[in-house]
Amino acid sequence: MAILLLILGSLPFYWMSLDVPKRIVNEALQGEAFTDGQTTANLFGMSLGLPEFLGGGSFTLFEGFDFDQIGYLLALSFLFLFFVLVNGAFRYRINIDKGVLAERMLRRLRFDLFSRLMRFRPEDARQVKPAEAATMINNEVEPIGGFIGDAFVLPVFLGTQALTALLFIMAQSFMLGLVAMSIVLLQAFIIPILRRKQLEYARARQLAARKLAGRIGEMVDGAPLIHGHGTAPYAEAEVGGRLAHLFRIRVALYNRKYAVKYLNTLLSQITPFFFYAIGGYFALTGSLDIGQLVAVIAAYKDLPPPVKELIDWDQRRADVTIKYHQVISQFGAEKLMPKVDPKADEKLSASAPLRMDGVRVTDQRGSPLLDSLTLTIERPSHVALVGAPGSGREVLARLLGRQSTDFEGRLRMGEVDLARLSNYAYSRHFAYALPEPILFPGSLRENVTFSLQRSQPAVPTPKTAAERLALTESERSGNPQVDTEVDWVDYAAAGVSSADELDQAVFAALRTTGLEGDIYNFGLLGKLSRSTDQDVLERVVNARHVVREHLAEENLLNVIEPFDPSNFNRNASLGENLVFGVAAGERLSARGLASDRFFRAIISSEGLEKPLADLGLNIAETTIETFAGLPPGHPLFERYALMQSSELEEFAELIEKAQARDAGTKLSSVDYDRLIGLALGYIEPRHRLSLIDPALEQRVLRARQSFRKFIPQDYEAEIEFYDPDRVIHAAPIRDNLLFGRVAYGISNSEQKVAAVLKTSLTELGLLETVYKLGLDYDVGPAGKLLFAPQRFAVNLARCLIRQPEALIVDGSLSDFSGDDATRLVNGLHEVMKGKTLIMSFSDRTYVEGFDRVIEFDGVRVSDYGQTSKSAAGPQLEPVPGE
Amino acid sequence: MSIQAECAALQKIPMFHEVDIAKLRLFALSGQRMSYEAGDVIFRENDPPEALYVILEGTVDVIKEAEGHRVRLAQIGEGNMFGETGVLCDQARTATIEAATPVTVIQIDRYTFNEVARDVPQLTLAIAKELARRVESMNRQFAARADA
Repeated sequence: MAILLLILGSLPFYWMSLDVPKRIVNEALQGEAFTDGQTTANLFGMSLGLPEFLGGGSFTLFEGFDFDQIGYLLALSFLFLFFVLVNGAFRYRINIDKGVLAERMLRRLRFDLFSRLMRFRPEDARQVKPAEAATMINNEVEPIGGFIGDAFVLPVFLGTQALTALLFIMAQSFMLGLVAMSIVLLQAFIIPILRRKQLEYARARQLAARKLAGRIGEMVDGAPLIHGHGTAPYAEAEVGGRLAHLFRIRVALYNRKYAVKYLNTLLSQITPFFFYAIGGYFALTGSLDIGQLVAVIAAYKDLPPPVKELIDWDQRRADVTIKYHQVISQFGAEKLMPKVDPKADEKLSASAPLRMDGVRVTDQRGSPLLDSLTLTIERPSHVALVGAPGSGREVLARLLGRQSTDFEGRLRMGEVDLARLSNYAYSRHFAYALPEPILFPGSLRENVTFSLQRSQPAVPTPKTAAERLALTESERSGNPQVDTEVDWVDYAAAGVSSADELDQAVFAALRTTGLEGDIYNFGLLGKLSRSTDQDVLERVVNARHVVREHLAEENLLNVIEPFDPSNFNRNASLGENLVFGVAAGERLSARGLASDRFFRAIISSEGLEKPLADLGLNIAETTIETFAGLPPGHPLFERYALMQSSELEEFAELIEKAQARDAGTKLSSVDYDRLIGLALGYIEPRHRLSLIDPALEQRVLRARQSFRKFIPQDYEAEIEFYDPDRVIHAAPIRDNLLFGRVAYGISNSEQKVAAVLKTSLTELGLLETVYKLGLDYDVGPAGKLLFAPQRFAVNLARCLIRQPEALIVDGSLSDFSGDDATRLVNGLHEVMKGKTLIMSFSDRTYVEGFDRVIEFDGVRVSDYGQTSKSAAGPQLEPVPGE
Repeated sequence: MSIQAECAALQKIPMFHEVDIAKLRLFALSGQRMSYEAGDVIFRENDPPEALYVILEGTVDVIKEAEGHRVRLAQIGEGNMFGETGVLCDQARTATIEAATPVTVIQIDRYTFNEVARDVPQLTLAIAKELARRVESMNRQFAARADA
């Protein structure tokens, strides 16, 4: 609304900018202001005249200024300049406001779509292709949002401007105004009609080109077949035919396009003809003065651009409307569940039984997935659902976990209809462990506490102007006013009162799911930050002696290769060996090091550049051959390859270039950086490509000495050298404790050393520090740095940490070893004692300890099982027809 | 021994004859090369099945211990795999494996093996064929004994 007022406010100034040139011509140049021998004329004088019925007369409001003719001309010219500047300022302000409005609307639209996506019914959410949804929210709404800013502002702005210009022309000469209006109307109606056909041709061209590309692709794939059968001429004829079709469309398109352009230009240029001819005639006959004619021509110059832009606007409006409907149709209201509303929390009984009456679930074709289930599950109780994969037990677990909402019959908890229960209330009492764990990139801690991010913090009071603006903008665009910088953790749900205590709860949940040992191992890979207590740092340095003593006692000193400035450490990477330390910043990181000028100078002086680049080339070739078949981001790639999966293609090109070197292609310095960077991560006993010989080791040692000796002062903060008397913050705590590396290739050495370290850490009171570091472990994209059972365990811990009244575990334990699975199930029995635990199994292996085992045969229950509480009364209700 | 040599050794194993060298390299790279002296125990009976092994060099004894007696059931030599049944069937070790000579093996832990097996069907099929071949061989032996 403010923009519309601004536009209206700008119109008088626009009018004035059209009127002043007329006065310049008539009053200043032709001297109309200086008639009757006046040498000066008044400008800017303002008086208020009263009508006759009020007695007539006038009052002078402002006396103005007297100018001679030159002064008068200059004053009017500056006045014109003033209006030009004011109009420019208006245009600038309107464009800014329009842009902000567009961005605000885009933000709202994106948020609304995301919010709707989060409310999709689980079965609909499963149908959504993540990449498509992301593209829709991110890219496809971009032009829609951009257009929203223009939707109202542009037609009003341009329309009123065109109208002002037209009215101005009419005010000067009604006849010329009519001519201008007729031409404008002609443009406004005919051009869009002609353009519509042009757009149809453009779409047809796009379609034909796409089909041609697809067909060419098919033919390239089928080239061996075409060659084998000698049908190349036929294939050529087909492509020729498609090219001819495309040619015809393109010619028609050009015909139409240039016809429209011709007509547009003609209409724009024919108007001045009328102005010169008719306006000139009027000027000569005295019914129009020269100033008016000049002003009319000047005003007309401003007329076609807005009209053209309005035509374009209309076209964009049509396109955006189609796009908008396309996007919105994917986010239809019929798929939505009620919005998560913390106020809708309902107090639910912890002992109310789960009742299913005639529950039936079908697939899209109407075939039953779960049939006629009438069953009561007493609470609290531990129930095992057993059935073959694909049987009703999976469907029931999903129903209870609210992952399937489309069913017939009734599902109640006590008297509460579960289908009507809000998500918020449901998730406060129930937790459902998905069969396919979903992990987000981040630490173990962040993944486990994800389920606690539901405290609904209050909107913070803004302290600065920037915060106030951010809050206002969030409100205006319908976005949440609380961001994730605020603490969202529901500590009470985890049974703790502060962030300090939360780690204990996270650890307890992960211990129940069998990850204690893994957290310890992850912790050994963690790094001590610079904010770590001095006392802890000192204990870590002192621990080195204790660890060595324990290793000696266990006869394990031989499996550790210590960091020794005069020896090449075969179990450390080439880069680590070259700098004898660990990068503390980006400059000397594995990739940064290769392109660092000082480092390159050092390795160059030792003649190491070429050998390292060759080594990198060898690694690149082997990596590409080995990992090429794996999908991007595969865990094996993440764990074992020296490059990112996204770099495969770039390195493949680099190899091609290197292989073609004889043909004159040269590797660039960036190529060299990449190859050397790859080589710096190489560890001989780990990667086993036989690329490091004793001679290379000696050269690396010499380069190491030079690096240390000549390192510039400003590099000091970039690297931490291995020092037996200091903690190396950038190195894992395991390296700090061992001050060396565990040798590869010695059976169980890792486990034995880890056990020794545990003893030492316990003695020194550092074990908790290591466990905390373990919780910082980055699980990688989608948890790919974890093994399948670890992912399952994290997913389960995420459910356990919020201490649900009922836990539904819908996952196969096949990734666990038998002992681990038994331990896990027993742990769950223990932690869910006095609560409800429902687990889904493919067989009866782990059902011991459950109060009741319900077996499924296909879509129906074959055995309702006996419950230990059956003495309290029958829990089973006969299934109709059985 | 480089990874190329390990792959060449793996390719000599009948069950891996038809597997691409790149897939074998992935298999080898996912594991670790371990060396044992003669007399070293690689795993003991009833140990959990943590890994499977492919012998690159040397020979191992399969030993069963009963009532204080050690009985050597078999010897497994270069180019053979052991420990895979425990990993695939999730069963504790049914015998002790001891290095009879200095031995070099590729050791692949169970979780990594599961991931490789899941994503490299060629390898999984090779292992499945080998296991089927062994079952078939045992069936034939039983049938021959029954006929005798």
